[in-house]
Amino acid sequence: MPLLLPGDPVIAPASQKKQQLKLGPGLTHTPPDNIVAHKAGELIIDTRKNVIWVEGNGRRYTPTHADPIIVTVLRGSADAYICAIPSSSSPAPSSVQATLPHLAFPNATKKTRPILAPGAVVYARVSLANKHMDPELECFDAESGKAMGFGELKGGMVFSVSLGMARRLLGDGNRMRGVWKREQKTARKEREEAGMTDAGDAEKEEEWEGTGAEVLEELGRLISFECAVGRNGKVWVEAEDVKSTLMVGRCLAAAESLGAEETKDMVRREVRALQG
Amino acid sequence: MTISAVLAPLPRADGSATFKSGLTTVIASVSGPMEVRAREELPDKAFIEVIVRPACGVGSTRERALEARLLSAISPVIIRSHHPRMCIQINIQLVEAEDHSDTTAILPAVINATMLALVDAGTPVNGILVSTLVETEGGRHVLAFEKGRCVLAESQGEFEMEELEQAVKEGGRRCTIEKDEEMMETDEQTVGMAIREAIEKKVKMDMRWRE
Repeated sequence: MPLLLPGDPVIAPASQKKQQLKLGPGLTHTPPDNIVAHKAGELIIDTRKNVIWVEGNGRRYTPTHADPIIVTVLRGSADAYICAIPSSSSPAPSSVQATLPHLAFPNATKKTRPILAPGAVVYARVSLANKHMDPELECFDAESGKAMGFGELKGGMVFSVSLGMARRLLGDGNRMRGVWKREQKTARKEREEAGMTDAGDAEKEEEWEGTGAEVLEELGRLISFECAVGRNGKVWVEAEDVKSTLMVGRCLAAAESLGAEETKDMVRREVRALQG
Repeated sequence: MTISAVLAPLPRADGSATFKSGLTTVIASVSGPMEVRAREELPDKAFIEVIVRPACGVGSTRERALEARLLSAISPVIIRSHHPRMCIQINIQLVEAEDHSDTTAILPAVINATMLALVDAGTPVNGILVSTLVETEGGRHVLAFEKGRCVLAESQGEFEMEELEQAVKEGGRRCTIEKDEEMMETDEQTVGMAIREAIEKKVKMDMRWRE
């Protein structure tokens, strides 16, 4: 995938279907058809969905619609809880404030509402995000009306990871790999149809083995624990005892810049050290 | 003159960079977009706060002058409308310099470090601003380039117009971040290439999980 620096122009891929091109994060469109990257990263092209975006990494989270995030309750008000969206571990005050209405819980009515004390950790979804307004959250799935895993997170600990890492733990890395493999396949087919030899090109192909979520897969295979990943770069973990919880947190931090195999080795080492 | 740049030396900042050029070393960190103080809130764009700290002692007029020049150089590059009612804070720590009172010599390093920290933080920017100090017979010129255009010129001394033109030409060559065949042949390390390499290294590190 090509590397982009801010200011680099991007040529939109030609799509076979008449589907509107969607631009993801990191790209700015200036009419009529100039697309320019505004941050550094790798360009990911999904021709099937006709979507392009810049995949990079960051630490400060900007609320985006439908993202699952981990928030802390600051205080209650008449009809909503005011929550802080923590992001990054920088000492500068980060909290973007969001409202979590009392009615945004499963089976909530005006009479029965969930009770959250200030400081409670909540797994919620962003239901309204707009750069001009404070974000709004919800703790249920609007279609089914069920909790779908959202709600207060009792016990456990919250660890910080980078935003890219959080996305990978939620399966974005695997999806991106799928997109990449598909693109490679079509490119290969096109080359074959054009009658070009494949020998040189095969060597040139990059390797993409990891999904970025190996740390959780490997840990899940070896020990039992619960975890919730927020797209704001927070991971809530609860294991049998504090020792194991901390070990999971350590593994998450260490996996940040490791490849797939290295991650697996690291996790196995940590688990062995824990179990003695 | 050796030039080196490292992205993200500070693990807790949203974006940070160290930039070394000869005897000058500068660390920059960027925080934000984050909450802004009420009186500084701008309804349609982000507020940019610049703080320059000297290598020793407390800041004085010299640091304020650097702050003002850095702000005027860097704020057109940042796409401020992406984060209205937010604050982007830029902290500069001067670490080393040949002459601490010589702001003209320090300014290019400050601009480059800031630019790299902004890229590391993922702040939306129009392009990459690269700055260098060009010395001619009669003067010294701080020049900054974005996409091959000279967007900042701060000159000191007495010089002819042709001298400045030549300085701009030389500066443009040093500041280009595009990979050039001609440049690859010579061993000279330019500011633009050092910056490009630092960013490439960072993106590569971010994508290491694929291996």
